[in-house]
Amino acid sequence: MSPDDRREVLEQLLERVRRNAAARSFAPAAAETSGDLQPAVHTGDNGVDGALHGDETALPAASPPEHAEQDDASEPYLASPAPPPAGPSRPLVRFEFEDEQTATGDPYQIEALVLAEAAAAEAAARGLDDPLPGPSTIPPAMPPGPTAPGYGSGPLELDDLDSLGAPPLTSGEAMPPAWVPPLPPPPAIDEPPAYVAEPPAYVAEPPAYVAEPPAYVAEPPPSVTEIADDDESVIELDEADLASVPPEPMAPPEPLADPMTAAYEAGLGGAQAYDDQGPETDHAGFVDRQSIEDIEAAVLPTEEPASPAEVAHADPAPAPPRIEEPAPESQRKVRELDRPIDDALDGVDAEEEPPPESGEVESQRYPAQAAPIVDEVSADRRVDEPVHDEAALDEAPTPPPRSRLAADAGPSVTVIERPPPPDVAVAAYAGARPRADDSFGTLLDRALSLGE
Amino acid sequence: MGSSFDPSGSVAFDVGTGRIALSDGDPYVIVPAAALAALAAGQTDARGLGRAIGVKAAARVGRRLGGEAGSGRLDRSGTMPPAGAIGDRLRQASAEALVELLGGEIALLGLGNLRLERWGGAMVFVLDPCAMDARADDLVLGVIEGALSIATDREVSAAVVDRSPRAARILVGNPRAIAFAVERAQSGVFFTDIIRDLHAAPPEEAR
Repeated sequence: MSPDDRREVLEQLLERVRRNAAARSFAPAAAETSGDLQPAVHTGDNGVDGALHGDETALPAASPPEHAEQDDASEPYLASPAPPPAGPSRPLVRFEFEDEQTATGDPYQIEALVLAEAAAAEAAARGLDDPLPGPSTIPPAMPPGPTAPGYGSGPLELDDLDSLGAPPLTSGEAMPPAWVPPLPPPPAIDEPPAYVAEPPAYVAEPPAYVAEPPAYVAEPPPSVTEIADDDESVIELDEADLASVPPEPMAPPEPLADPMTAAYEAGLGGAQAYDDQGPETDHAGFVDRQSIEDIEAAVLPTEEPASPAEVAHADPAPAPPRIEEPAPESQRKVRELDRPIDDALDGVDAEEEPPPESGEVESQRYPAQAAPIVDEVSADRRVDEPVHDEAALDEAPTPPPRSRLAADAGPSVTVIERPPPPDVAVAAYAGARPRADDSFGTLLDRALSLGE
Repeated sequence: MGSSFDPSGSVAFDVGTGRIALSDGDPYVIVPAAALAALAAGQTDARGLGRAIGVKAAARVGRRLGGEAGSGRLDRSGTMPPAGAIGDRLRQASAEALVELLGGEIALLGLGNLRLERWGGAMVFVLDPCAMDARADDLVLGVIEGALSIATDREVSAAVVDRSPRAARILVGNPRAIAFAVERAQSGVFFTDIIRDLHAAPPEEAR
């Protein structure tokens, strides 16, 4: 359902509400106090905010609400016995919204708007009669808690709104004191342990000795980059961005006149952060069409920039005349020679070729002219085969001995063995080693001379 | 008739071990009677007795050495050759020959088996086995000193540097070196260390 459809439906509903309220404003007020409004206790995070939205007077004192901690607070539960089935009623407002939650499709806002319209109609009708001596029967428009999304989703009828009014009292009767039921005991909230302020243990560390003062180097200011003023810098907004425009700021909340509500409000404290925002105004959540058009006119550019695909297929613009920039100074610097230019030899400097642009080194641009290297010598080659390539012989590894080649060649090779040695005395020993004088007298004298 | 004395087999000479045994089986030593008388008379000591035994044994060796040239017997005049001549023969003889002849003479006396050990320049005579125990070491030392004194003109001294119940190792040298060796041996130094010290430094410096 588009937002326009929703607006149309809402307008129709509001029209029906106005007509119904005008028709009922002349009818006698039905003093029915049936329990159409079922006292529901919504358990939020703290388990107490749900009691604020229910009718406290309908809560029996003997049956305090059961506070149950639920992780999923979206499911309300009944704290009191099931009320009698309500009479045939026709649901006035029932919205089935899609997943998209916009500012104009909030069911709570719509419900609050409907209630406000009904209250205004009733007040206008009663403004013709004498003011009622009793308290206002119109319940304060309380926005539902954020943790109770199911609140308000139930069917509401205008009869239910009328049933909230108390029976008119005669002018001679004294106004009975209002019976205030005892407040339900506050739920047990697990409070964190009391914070005990302990002095922080601060150990002052000695400052590190800095031998040298820090060098403050004044950095050059950043270069100013000029941003081209093109269409890309404009923020483009689409329909989704426009639909998510935040609503206008709400009016300040009105003070709550109900003592019960005030008591609960005071007891709940900061847990009612959402409730502190106060009742929503009639314009809350609505942005009329003219405003949207104005926003679109102000934000969207007159002509949408061409998409990148279109830019790619577009004819290229004529290239501006290229202005050749001068080469860097490093390339224009004159080459300095190691020797004076007067001593330059003719033909020496000319032979030096500049380095090729391809990056090849000079040695790679000349083919190898070396003869093919014989890596191995085949044993099948004949021994008496002449070797013509002397260079190949120099490069080739050392060939195996000829004896092995001869043995491998076969029986055609003549084997010449060494003749046996001649049977002659190769060495002649002449003389003899002179024998030491080992006579007993000599040895005795040597022994007697020991230690002298 | 009365029983006749049969001396056959009464004395057994074991030349290999230098042991003399009689019929009772006990070892005996042959000593000169004059030397024993002098000992008995108190004119000499055990070392003197041993010297007398050694001189006699060396004289016999010398005669044996001269006997090879002249059969070692008494000459035709019936007199002994002069000592100088006997000493020269001993000096000229080889160590092996002298040990063989002198050891044989000592073995016939029943003093034990003699062998010679040369530790460098030192000369060590060993009686293994030795017929007598350590109580007769002076007698054994006198035998060695008396036998070597024939072969040299120098004063010869000897000392037991290693002793066991069965054998005795006798070091031969000059009196100063032997005195050093005796001192070291009494302090428990092994004989090889004593000989090494004698080769290393003079006895004066060693002390």
